[in-house]
Amino acid sequence: MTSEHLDALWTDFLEGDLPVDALGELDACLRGDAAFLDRAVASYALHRLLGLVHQAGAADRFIDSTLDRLHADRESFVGAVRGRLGAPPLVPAAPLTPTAPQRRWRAALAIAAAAGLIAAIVVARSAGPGAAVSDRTSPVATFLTGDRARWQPDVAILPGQRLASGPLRLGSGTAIVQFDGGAVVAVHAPADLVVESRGALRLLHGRVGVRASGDAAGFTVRLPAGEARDLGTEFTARAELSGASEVHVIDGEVAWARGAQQPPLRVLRAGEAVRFESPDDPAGRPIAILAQTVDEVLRQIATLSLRAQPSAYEGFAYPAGDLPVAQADGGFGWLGPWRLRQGGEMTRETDATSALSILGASLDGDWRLPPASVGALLLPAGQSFRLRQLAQPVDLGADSVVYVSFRLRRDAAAPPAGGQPAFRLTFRSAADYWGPSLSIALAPSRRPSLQVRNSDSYIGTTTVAGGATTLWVAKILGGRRLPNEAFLLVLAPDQALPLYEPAAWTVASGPFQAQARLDLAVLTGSGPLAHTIDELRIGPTWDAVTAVMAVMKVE
Amino acid sequence: MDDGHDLDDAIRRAQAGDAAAFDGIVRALAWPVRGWIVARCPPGGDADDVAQRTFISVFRRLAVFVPGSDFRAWVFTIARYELLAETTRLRRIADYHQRLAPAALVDELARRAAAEAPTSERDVEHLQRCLADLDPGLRTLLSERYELGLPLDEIARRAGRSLGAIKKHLFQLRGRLRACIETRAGAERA
Repeated sequence: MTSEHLDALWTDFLEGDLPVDALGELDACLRGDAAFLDRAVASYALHRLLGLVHQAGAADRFIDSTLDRLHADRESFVGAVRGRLGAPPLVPAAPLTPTAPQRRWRAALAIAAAAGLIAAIVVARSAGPGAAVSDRTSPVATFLTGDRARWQPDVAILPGQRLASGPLRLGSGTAIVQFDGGAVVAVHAPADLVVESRGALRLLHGRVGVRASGDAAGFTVRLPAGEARDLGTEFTARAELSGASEVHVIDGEVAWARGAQQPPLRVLRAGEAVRFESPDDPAGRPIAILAQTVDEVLRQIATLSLRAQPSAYEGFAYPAGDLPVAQADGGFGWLGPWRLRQGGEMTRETDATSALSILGASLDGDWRLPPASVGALLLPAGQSFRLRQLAQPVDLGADSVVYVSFRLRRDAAAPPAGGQPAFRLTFRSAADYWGPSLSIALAPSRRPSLQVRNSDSYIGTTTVAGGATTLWVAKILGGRRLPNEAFLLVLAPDQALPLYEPAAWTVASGPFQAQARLDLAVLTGSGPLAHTIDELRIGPTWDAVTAVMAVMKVE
Repeated sequence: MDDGHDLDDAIRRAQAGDAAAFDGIVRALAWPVRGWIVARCPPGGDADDVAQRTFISVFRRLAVFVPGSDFRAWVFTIARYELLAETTRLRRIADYHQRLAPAALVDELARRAAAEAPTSERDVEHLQRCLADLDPGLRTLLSERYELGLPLDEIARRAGRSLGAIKKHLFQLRGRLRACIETRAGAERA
């Protein structure tokens, strides 16, 4: 392998252009060539340092954030240790003053040594739950929706919840599962199956319908008598306890093979249905076709199911003009009106205005999702921070699924001057404002991004056109049994809104781990361009935040 | 806080109970500590969180630091342990990271973090000087890539060049900067 090829592979990796399936090749090259590995490590370090030194503003934010965290740690640390030692509490939440710092600081240091033992015990105890983290496996599929789906043993799987590799038993009803490779599978009870990977399942017993078109082609259903490999199509597979297996091809083609790694024995075409009694029956026999498509199942579920409503909604249906934040208490699902930052939430950045600037018209696009109320919020050029407390927090520590949608428009004015325009919707904790958080953002580069824990950024590869109204839909997964994940889809005004969540999102965070109840929604606009936001919805399902809804104003 | 004397003074004052002095220590060491961690933290790792935990750990242990010994080395030792803890955390979700980065890179970063003394904490400073010596056009290219985060095809379009040419240019530019940093570090050691 030439060094040019190695360098090209490495450059593609650094630039985010390396396909996932080429990672293995790069890994093998790195393992087999010590000099290349050495170059790669040095190149990686420089790449990361370049990112660091080019984020000049982030340096101040890092220092401010570190000092805030340090001060908070100081207070809670000293308070906790004093409590354990039976000492009277320090003056609560008093800022360090010129006359007091020495005593408070010495108290911290004096107690630090005594607390060392306590801290060691705390760490040792926390190793238990920490070890459980390693039991978490990576999700490979998503339970989209179902009709009276009941899993066995009796576990609640929420729509939108992720599924790791492993066995599933559907006792009754119908469930729609989307694999990360893109295939959508309708599982009909009773069914026993094993989710094997993002591109394969093993059906032990029961019936599944598979739609695996486009990039999802290659999806494999392993059956007792052989395996069906999708060639870009839609088909139904059945497995009986006797081992007999059936494949019904509704559209496209399916390759039938005796087993994994085996060459295909034959290709079944649209309209063909074949029953194979066992692995020793490679020819099978033709049978009548079962032709129910996945879309038909989805429509049936949509008809039968009650649609969930948003748990929180803000349509900014206020009189046009400047409105004092305390009077902005519309929508539902909130604890109180909008407000400005206060106390420890403040930074050096000051708000350009203290009111809510309400526009008389709503933001709209061609998504078959008309706004439910008239009005929109303008975040003018400069800094704007607007906060509102949710009645129902986003709980990152529990097995939960929260969807968020809103419309967003960044003014088109090029070239921007006087800073970089940015928008963020950040979920924070009112009790621990600078603690773990999750942001949905439009970066200065016009690329949508997700930011978790104030630090990890996941940036999309597509850009958002200035002046265009876009629809943003995010999914946030709390994680107890599985890791946390966050996903973001951004649709241009002329893009169709999918009926159900996509397998391929604009941005995906990948698994992360956080424990926090985020009960504050913080809207931030900054830089030289105004941002307009409208129709903020938060709810438990994709439908709840993307379906047409009538406003249910809570007075 | 420009030199070692100022840092020594801040350490003494912090140990004597001056909280503001510790803030000064954070400001003085934020760049080198972040730079050292960022360059070694595996893809997907939370480098800034590691850096923050390092400073909190330094604060908690400040009472046991022996005045007169090498404070920077002590801080970087703590940073190394915090980085190893982060690497361990990432390994727990290894399935995911095998899809994010080549395992050989992650393993090598972990091996080096565990085995090597942190001797290159001035890389950020060297890099900033090397960047200052670049032609404005090259600085613009790096700014578009690393500051504005523009997609490479957009950078190529702006420059009127092919995507492949921009990738190659960035590759060569990083090589040049690496050599510049090594030269500066070598001169410093000499």
